[in-house]
Amino acid sequence: MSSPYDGLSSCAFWKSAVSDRAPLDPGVLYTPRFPVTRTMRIVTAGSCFAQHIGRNLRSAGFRITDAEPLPGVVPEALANAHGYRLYSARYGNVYTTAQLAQLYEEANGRLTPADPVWEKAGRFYDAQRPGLDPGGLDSADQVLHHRAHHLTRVKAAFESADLFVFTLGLTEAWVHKAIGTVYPTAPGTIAGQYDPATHAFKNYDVTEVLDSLRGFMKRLRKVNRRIRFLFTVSPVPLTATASGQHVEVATAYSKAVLRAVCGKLYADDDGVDYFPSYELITSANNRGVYFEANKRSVSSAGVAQAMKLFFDAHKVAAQPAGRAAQEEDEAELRCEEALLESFAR
Amino acid sequence: MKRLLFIGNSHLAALKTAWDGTPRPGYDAEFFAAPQRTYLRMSLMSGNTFGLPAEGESQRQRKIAEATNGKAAVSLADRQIIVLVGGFSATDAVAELLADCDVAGLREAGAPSLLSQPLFASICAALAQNALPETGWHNRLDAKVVLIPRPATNETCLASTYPAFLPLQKLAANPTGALPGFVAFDTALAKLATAHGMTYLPQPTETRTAAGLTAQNFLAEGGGITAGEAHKRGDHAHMNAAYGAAVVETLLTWLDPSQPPT
Repeated sequence: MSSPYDGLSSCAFWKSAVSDRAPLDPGVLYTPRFPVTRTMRIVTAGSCFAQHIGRNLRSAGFRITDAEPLPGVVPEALANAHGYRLYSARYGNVYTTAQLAQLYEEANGRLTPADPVWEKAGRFYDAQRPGLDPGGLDSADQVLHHRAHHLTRVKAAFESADLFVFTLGLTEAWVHKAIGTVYPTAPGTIAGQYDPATHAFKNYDVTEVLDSLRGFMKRLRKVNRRIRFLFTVSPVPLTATASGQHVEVATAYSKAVLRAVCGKLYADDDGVDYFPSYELITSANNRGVYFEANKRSVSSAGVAQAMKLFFDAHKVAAQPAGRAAQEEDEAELRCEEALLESFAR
Repeated sequence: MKRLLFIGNSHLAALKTAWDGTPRPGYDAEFFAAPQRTYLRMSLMSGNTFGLPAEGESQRQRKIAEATNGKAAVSLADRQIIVLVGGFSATDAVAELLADCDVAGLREAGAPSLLSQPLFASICAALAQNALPETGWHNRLDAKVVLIPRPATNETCLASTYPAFLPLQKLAANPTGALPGFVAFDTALAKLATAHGMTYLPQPTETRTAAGLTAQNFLAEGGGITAGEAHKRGDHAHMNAAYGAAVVETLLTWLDPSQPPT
């Protein structure tokens, strides 16, 4: 009598797929469900690991939407410190699916977050992205003015995208008890005031994460029928937990929930692909080398390996840039002429 | 007698032509210049000189410097005022920034990005930092160092089909807040220059349009540009003696505020 495991590919078996695989060999972890091409308009969002994905896709010549662009004259570090060039709009890290769904609802005017402006030492911060204006702004009105502009850019970016790449990062968040508003950071951490009567800790479960993400996808598809989704789970462990559990246990719960949601969406929806960056980085085959010394941050080698897996699977390579040397020479020639006319007198 | 030394790239030509065209009693001025590519290879050297080192540079660069100045290096000794011209500027960078981005409270023209005032100030400060000359010019005890920027691109670029001018064309199409934006950058650079013992004299206001470009009548001739005709790239960077005169007047007023303009 034959076994249902007979005839399966070698990647279905731990021994051949993992035990016998050379260390750091990523193997065949990823087979794309649909191609990702350089002509697609791609929007990126998610937890901090998503920054790596966006940056590498852009470097490789993919058409990453930048709805709030800065010209190249602005230094990278300064731009990044203010939330530019990190994602497709200046929303900063979107750690939870609840935050993502809330952002899109707010951008459509269907939701108004509670306590949208946080204050600290006479300066004012956007509660939904408090880290993106280091030093804050002069007034609450200014914060709201910038937020209104930002939301128009978010809506435009999301609704014109062909592919939405989202990295699910956390299940833990802080919410406004009465209104349900979710915040990306705990009130009082960067700005604002933590008030136990107003704010509460929330650790989303599978159903809640699934519902918020499905709701977001459904509403976006109403106005953008062609959009497809590529989900990843951040391999970065929690930096802290408010769950009362050990941070490793809390991390395992969080990642398991997020991974389960991705699995369910992938199974139910042909417009969803899943990229296993979490599996690649955390694989026992890598002996932890894709993490920095703090055992939390993903190393540049880890990011490179994840992106190599992605690019190889989609059969694309980085594009070199060119320069107009001849035009430079022409301009220089004119500089010489200008001087000679004056100095030869 | 005030002893001046002007050092710069090709943008020094407009100043020299203007200076030479009018007697300047009370001033002893020397000019030392090189095209940008050669100028970038020049530096402060031992013996209190500036220019190309005696060895290690190509004969071509040396020939260019000597053809312009009769020498490849200039002595800084006994000069009371050293005026550095055109070798540094962020005018185009600021123009690109203002063309691509709005700044809250300063310019809101429907750009995709809306910068906060603090971020705009930080960007100006960063651009100003990059625009400073090498540290050997900072806090000199032997001479006052004056910085004069490269002029803003001439408004004749608005007729060009060359893509590099698109940001300037965009800015000119809606110049709201452009000049205050340039002034903010000039203020940042002036503050930084002062902090490093130098003086920054921005481009004279009367030479600029509302969009911050240099007005058409200040363009140098011979750059492949014909008024009223579209052109591809052309030279919209170099200005004429009238522009040089305006800059010289600014300099002389700074040197001796009691003297009326000539």
